[in-house]
Amino acid sequence: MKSENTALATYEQIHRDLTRTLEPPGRLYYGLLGVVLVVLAWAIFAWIYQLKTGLGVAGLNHPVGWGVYITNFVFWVGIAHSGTLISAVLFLLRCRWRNSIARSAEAMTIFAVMTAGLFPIIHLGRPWYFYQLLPYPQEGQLWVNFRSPLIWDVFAVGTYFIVSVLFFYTGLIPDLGTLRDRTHGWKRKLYGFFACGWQGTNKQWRSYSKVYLLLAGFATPLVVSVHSVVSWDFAVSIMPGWHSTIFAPYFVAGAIHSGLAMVLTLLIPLRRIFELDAYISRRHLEYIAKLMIVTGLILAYSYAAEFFIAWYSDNIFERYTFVYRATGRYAFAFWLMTFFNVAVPLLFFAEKIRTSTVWLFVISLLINIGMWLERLVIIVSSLSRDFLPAAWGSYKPTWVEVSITAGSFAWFLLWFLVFVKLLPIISINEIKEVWSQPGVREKDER
Amino acid sequence: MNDKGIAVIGTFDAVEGVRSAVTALHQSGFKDTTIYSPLNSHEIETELEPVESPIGFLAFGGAAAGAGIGLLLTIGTSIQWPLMTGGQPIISLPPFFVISFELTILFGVLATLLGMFWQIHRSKSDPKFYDSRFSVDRFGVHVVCDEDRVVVVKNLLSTAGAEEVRDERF
Amino acid sequence: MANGTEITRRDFFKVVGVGGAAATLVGCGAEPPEKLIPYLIPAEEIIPGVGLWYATTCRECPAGCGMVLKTREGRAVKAEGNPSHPVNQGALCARGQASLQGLYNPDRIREPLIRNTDGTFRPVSWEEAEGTVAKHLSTLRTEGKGQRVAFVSSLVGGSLKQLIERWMGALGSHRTFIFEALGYDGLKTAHEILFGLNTIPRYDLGKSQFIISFGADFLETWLSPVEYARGFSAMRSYRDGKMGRFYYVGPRLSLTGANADDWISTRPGTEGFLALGMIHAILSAGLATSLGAPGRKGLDALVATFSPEHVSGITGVPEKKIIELARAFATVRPSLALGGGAGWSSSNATAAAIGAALLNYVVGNIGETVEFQSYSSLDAVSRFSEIAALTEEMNRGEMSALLIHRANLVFSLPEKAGFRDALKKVPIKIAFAEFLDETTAEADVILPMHDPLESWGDYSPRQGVYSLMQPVMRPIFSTRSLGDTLVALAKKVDSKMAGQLPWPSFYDYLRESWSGLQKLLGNNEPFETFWQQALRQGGVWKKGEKETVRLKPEAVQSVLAELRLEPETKASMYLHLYPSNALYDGRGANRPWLQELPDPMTKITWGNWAEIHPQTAQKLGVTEGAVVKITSPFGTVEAPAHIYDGIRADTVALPLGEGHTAFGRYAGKRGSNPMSLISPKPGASAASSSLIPVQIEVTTAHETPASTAGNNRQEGRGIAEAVAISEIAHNAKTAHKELKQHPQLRPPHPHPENRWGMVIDLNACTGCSACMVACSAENNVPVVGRENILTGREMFWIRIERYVENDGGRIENRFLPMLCQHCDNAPCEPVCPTYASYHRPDGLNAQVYNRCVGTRYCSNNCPYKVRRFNWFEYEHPDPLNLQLNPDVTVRTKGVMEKCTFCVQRIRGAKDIAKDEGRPIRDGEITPACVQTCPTSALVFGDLKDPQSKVSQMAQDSRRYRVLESLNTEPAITYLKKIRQDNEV
Repeated sequence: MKSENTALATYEQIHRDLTRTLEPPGRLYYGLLGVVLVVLAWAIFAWIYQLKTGLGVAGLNHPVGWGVYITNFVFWVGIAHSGTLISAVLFLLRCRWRNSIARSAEAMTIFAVMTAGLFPIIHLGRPWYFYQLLPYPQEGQLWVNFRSPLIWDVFAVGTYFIVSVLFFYTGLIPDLGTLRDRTHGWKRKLYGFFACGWQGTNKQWRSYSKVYLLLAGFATPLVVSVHSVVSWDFAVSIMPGWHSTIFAPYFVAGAIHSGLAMVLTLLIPLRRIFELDAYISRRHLEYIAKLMIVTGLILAYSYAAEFFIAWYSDNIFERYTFVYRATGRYAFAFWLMTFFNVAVPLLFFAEKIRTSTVWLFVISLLINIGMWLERLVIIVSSLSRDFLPAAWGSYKPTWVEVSITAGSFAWFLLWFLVFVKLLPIISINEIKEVWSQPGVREKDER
Repeated sequence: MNDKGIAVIGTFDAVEGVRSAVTALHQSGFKDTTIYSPLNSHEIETELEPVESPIGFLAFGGAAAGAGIGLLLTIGTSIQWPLMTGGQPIISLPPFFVISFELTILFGVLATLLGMFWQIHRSKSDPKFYDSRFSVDRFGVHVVCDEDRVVVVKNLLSTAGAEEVRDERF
Repeated sequence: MANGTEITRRDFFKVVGVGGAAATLVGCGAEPPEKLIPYLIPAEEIIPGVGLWYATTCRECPAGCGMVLKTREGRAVKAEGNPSHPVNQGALCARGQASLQGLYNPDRIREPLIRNTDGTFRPVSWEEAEGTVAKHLSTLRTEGKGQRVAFVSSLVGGSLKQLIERWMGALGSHRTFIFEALGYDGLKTAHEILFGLNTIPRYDLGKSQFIISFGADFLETWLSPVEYARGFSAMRSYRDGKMGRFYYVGPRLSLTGANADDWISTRPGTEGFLALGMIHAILSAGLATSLGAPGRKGLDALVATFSPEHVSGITGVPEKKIIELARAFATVRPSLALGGGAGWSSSNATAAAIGAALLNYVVGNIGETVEFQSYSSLDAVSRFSEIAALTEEMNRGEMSALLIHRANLVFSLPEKAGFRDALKKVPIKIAFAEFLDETTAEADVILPMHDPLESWGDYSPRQGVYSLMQPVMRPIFSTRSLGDTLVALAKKVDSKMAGQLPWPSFYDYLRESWSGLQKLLGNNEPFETFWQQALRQGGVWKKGEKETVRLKPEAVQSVLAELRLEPETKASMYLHLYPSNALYDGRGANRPWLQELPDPMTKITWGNWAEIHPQTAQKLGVTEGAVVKITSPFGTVEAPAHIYDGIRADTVALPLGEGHTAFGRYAGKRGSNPMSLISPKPGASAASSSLIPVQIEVTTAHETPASTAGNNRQEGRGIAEAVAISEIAHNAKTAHKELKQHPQLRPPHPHPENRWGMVIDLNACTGCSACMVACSAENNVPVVGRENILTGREMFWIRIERYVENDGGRIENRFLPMLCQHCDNAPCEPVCPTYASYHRPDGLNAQVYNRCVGTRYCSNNCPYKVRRFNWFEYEHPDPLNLQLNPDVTVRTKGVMEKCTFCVQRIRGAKDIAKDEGRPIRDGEITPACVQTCPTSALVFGDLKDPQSKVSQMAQDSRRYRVLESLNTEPAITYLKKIRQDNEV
């Protein structure tokens, strides 16, 4: 075990440390896998039940057409965001500390998008016709309506998924070369195939750097656009509480906030289980915590701005919606979300808290809950009390929605478990970059 | 690269050695050098002459194509299907820009990656010069030279701190 | 309906007298039902894909509205009002619209049944069933016990009633009863006492300028609601700065009360005293100018003790108010007082009816707005006392056989009246019934009857209106009509009885009876011409003759005997029962459309409730949905509480109609029957005893009423707007300024040909909700059931929103029909990813079901929340599926649907116009809701045509659009409700 104060390692040692995760799994892994599979199977059963019976098995109803499913969609897309933020934005900003966490954050991005992508299909009334949302020439000569934000979603989330996968893959290529050189048999063939003939020659490295930079450059506006588009699912509507110009930056900040929380939630146990404290040090976690102070404050501003504008606009519908949000049926969710997302991250101002893994872990969970509730509050409180009082209603999720939501976490974790055993969870070559040779000390960069 | 020649490969355990080897080789007029590195070392890169790479142009081309395709797709199909929604014009540019933007990124990334695969493939050297340690903890300097200068190169590499030096004919 | 509609209707509705062809069809009653009609040999009139209309008469309540039934490929798919019928003039109420669900009810008795010894029923052939009945009857006849046979029928038309009496006479009995749960005993008694006329007059609401109703809910159930609603809307229409006034008196704010200028809340059972107080005030002010001295003298004596001051003490209405009302009633002419609730069950119905009739008499309304005629159909209805006497006889074992036709006495009589037990003492009980209701379930032999829509018959609601009923389609099940069964039974009993009923079928009897009518009417055409003409138009009408009316001299004493408010019955809480707008007396309870139809005031569906005032609720610790136990001296019921500020604090009100223990899957085991709270002896002469004290206890049970309402306050949003009558003239001058469009970001829609639009006059809408059922019937809108209503999954394409303005005491109700607004800038359209929602050039917001994948974004983004999502695959249990309109798709689960402005009707009218090479005429297209609206509150047409009625109305100074600030540019313009300026 490497402790933080003896952060010394050779390249060989780095390699051994970082590929230790790929060793045959133990009981903990299988136990976790079992739980994940059971939950997932139950969720699949719930979904099949919903498919057969109709969407009415969910708690949705006439004023409240969207509920937990869209909450989950926005939540998971949000989770996806900090992967790209860490790997692309921090790369562009030359924050080298990202190297320790970028790989797992990117993996998280992909799996989160894969999870998020399920929900627009699950929430459809007729999911078996989901392909009608895709622009392709077909018998019925249907075409998609590019004016619909849901089609923007298809393009944005679709692009985001493809780009995230490719970005992730690009980052993996040198490591795949390494793995190819250190494995045998089918694994060697598999890694070799995906390594695409990587040798680490200076020309390859040069192209690679350029490509990586370009990809980071592409991914950065993309990540901003994706959650902006997701926010426009709401903001282009005329619903009070949705119809707001601050939604795009507000959602992007929220997405990063929740994504960072999820990174912490995943990394803290990972570094513990695989004894990676030397590579994912408290310093890394502390940096994330500091970032979350920033995103939390942006959220605080956004929440306040929403209320201010509702008051300042003198629009009775808008005003009512926000009064209802803070005092109505879903007020408990609103206050929880405000507390978890805004107040709790302020604890990170205390060094003691932001350097304690226990605190970090607990707070990251709270923020995850808070961010999930934020989406629920936005969706449900607006829909249940919109323009015509006679059409007001309320919403309560059913067991089907709860099961499928639980299943989404299982699905996400399943992929993460597969990833952990298949690929190095920390970029080997990037760690080598930030550790000087020989023998050596981690460079003290930002 | 020459059709026939001798390649001398020196193995180093640290970037500093590689850097001094490259400097020495350059001073001695050996330009045809390839360096193997387990990490993306900017220190090595600065020692080498910059190479023109077409990836930037590819990326730009892909992005531009994506933007164009996005606009063509949205505007073209809207004209084909002139259905009015919400009182908006048939060609509603602001929403179409969203689609166009996403496709700009998508095609830009795809073009960039195609460029990368092509470049990786192009800059691959013969596997017999490669050593599997190069991807883990060793650096390699691979110099192509005439038969009569092999000894000079070997000496240069050893002096620079190479752990081992070998030559391969091809 | 608009006059224009009437003409065009004749053009394209082929209202056909079926004559011989249909008679042949009907003759095949015993054949198995056919679901598909093969067109190998097409019947002459039937063109596949084209509707064929048959005129008949609605038999859902005693009003007797004319109906036309649209049939497609041999099955009835839609009921509409007969535009040429004098009673309803083209409109129908919710119950009339739902008559098809009686015809197609899945719980109909499908074949004759005979009771086994173990109490179960076994299906038998008609042969066997009739044989059994004939054997019983013939035995009784030979034993000379014909007298011991009684026949109780629901209210049937003239010819059938004659036939029943003739048949019973042949059997040797004169014991024929007509049973109606809501028989208007009180009203008939009042007229008997005052004028010696056991009848119900015709009330002309349209002619009146001032109406006061003493508990008469004439807009929902009272006598002839469609006719009265039409008259009411005429009276309430704005003319030259004026609008007729209407006051409602009673302990509960009913739908009718909600349409009044003011609700005068009287202590329960004291409505009649208020009327007498008014008479006192009128007489003392010398305003009864039309009265002769003798009549006046008696009156003076009668009301002497009812000075406004005294009456104020009794009723709780301020003295000043009574005097003001009286003055207005006497001076604003013609005026009209309506009194007496629907049946003997409502509080002090006779007293109220007496008061109202006297008021009319005093100011000279009789002959003006109140027309007594030689009869009304309700005259034939047996008094409760007669039914009670029959029950007694049955109890004493004096009845050998009881024949019951469509009368649910077990359900509709107070439990304490003991009819169910008495029935057990009758050895032979034969039911002629469509449904296995509580009474039929007690029978020994059940002969399944045709639905009225499958039967021949006639019905005359009053003198001068002779409506015909004809079968509109081949019978679905192995059923027969009562007339045919009686004729057939007579032939089987014995030859003597057969000889007295020589007709081959009821059809022949009916024709013969109508040939008599023809002579009576002085019509000299050949009978066949007369008959065909009558069938085609649904009957024959001529103006009724007025009867002259005099106050009976001995009336005064009788009245005084009637009017007692017994001090010992003064309790803290009283009971008020009222017939339900949808279920009427309970007969509608097996129709899913009616069960699902929200009550106009409470918006509760599927089940009953007890209305409790908020103060009382607080005192008792009752919350919404808490099940309360209501105990009267006669029984106990449990019902979930509904906190309602339209009820007096000292009254608890329950709607009638629920609480069936049988009667099919939709009615059974739902709610409790409040009839068990009623006195078993509310005889015709004991009106005061209908004031029933009750006690309320809260139970621990909870049952949330399945309400479709969100919030009934507008929260200052200006949704259902009103304008003071004095402001209208001023507004009209500045109206053109208001019409100026907002600046638009984008150019307006071109609408090359038409722009379909609607105008909804909130001043005319009474909230009766007929449009909701009409829409469901026309557009195959599914019924979702109580559980889904509770979770907010109602599917109605149109709803009536009720908003309450309660500014400290005075409750102002506004009803707002809300349907798809077909916005030009529809927020639902651009958010749909698949173009399932898009805008048509003619202004319709179209929904393409096949394209819909069910994202529900359109619904979320609809500010009017009128889109409906198919959460499940909804069922139409066989044979309800036969009612489905073949012109409209049945939607599958997972798609969004909504109002289409009845695009199929627009399409149909356009096709016809195109075939005839002419443009569409204004009024030619009427969506189902517009068609059935009794008050013509909804007007549909082309907004592009500046001459169309809808365009003209859309320019009215009362115009506004709901949520106009959102700039959705809706196609529906609302006209503000008009508010009177001052009290009285």
